[in-house]
Amino acid sequence: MRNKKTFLLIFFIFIILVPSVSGALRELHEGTKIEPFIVVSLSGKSFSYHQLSGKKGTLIFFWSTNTKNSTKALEILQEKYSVWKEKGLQILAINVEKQYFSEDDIKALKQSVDSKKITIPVLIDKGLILFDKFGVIALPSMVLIDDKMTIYKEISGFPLVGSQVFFDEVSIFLGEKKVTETKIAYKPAKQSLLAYQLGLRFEKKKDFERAVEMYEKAISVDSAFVLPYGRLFDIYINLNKISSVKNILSKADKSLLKKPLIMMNIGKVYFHENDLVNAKKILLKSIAEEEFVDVFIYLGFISYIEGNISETERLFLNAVSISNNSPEALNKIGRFYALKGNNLKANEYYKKALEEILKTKGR
Amino acid sequence: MKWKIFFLIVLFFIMRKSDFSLADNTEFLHISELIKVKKYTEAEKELSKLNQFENRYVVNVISADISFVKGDFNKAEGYYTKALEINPLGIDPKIGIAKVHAARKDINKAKEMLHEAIKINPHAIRIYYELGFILEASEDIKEATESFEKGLEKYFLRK
Repeated sequence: MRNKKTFLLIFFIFIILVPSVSGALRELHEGTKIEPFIVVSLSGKSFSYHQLSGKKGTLIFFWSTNTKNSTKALEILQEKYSVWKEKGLQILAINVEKQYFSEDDIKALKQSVDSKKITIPVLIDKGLILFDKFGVIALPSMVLIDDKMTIYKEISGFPLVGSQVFFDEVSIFLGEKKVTETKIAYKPAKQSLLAYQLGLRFEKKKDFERAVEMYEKAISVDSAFVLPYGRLFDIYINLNKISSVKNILSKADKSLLKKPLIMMNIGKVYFHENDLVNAKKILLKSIAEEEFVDVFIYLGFISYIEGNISETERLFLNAVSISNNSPEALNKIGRFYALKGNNLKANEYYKKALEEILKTKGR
Repeated sequence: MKWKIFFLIVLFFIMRKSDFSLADNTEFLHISELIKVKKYTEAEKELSKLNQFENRYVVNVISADISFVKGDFNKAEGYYTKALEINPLGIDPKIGIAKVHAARKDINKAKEMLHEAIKINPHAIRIYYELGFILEASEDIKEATESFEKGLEKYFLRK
């Protein structure tokens, strides 16, 4: 009888855990602890995080050879590498452009790295496990991790102003620069973070009602934690509940409204209300600090409506490039063209999205 | 003891994959990758290393894929048909035969075969992708859009 009870208990715990075992950190955010991971060098050797990490901290640089900002950022990091390394910061340039690298792919990558005289360790994320675990949303992305394996600072894309601020933060972290005003990486309240992570799990299972509940809880516990707002706005905008977004914005602290993520969503609201002038204004403001894929997509929508086709394509290509050809970005653009009756263009993007999906499935 | 067996069976059904598709067999992924980059000789070499008896279905499908990309549609159709004899519910050979029909400009037969594949596995994204391609080639642009959208819907609902 006792054995039966134990077996039942283990079985039900397993059942509860199995669906969530594949759950992972969906987005980069400060204050969370990372799990140790394995990466592979260009010579095929596997290394654990602990073998590679720096004494004071580690800067993980997610990049690909086919995003122009990646190359620019890598060259800038190379310039800073020797100084930062001496101060205890290790940089790891993790290439995330393919799930599976053939011998020819590795050869090409080696050639590209050697031609730029890169001495930063260049590694491969086999199976794009880290890409998924960290929830990388734009390329390049940089994650600064302290010696306790906690994310200190992160940035998506390589925006002009935002990237400079990020490098300043790294300098402060290493003690190169003094903090003129208190600039501590924001750490949300534990309960808020937990509620947010639960919200992500519910969202992944398409249980949007519960996800909204959790994000609202996260905000009520810690109204300065930006990420739940972002997810909440995304859900409401997808469900066309613009009034719900406006309601939350009206109650939010004014300082929050200056955050790039919030500005992006305000821009989306303006767009959905056909106020293209204000939408464009605020989207351009947010992009100066952080390059979110959706900002490029929405600016592309606006350019198309304004009749500027070449600018539209440029913005969409940018979005696709920094998102590393994400099916989500390609699908959004395809849907827009389909709605506008441009089925040829829609099919172009839909095919690319499906090809990316099938690439990861192997056939 | 009965309870243990019952729970193990339940666990089995939770963990098993619901359809057989080469896409789920990552050990053959590297052979598919070789075909994609046109390294047919290497792909055939890797194929010959596989246990021909244990992997008859896979060997036939991949042999068919190689024949198809080389332009030998009759041989490809032969291998796909053999694969279907081994596994009548396999969607890879059905997709392959559809592509052979499309290559021979028999669009109706190609569509028919893909619709059969959808009946077997309505969640296989690749079918909608191939159908969309064939529809586009036959200038059914709007229908192609619908097919691509269905494939993407399957992906986003599954995610």
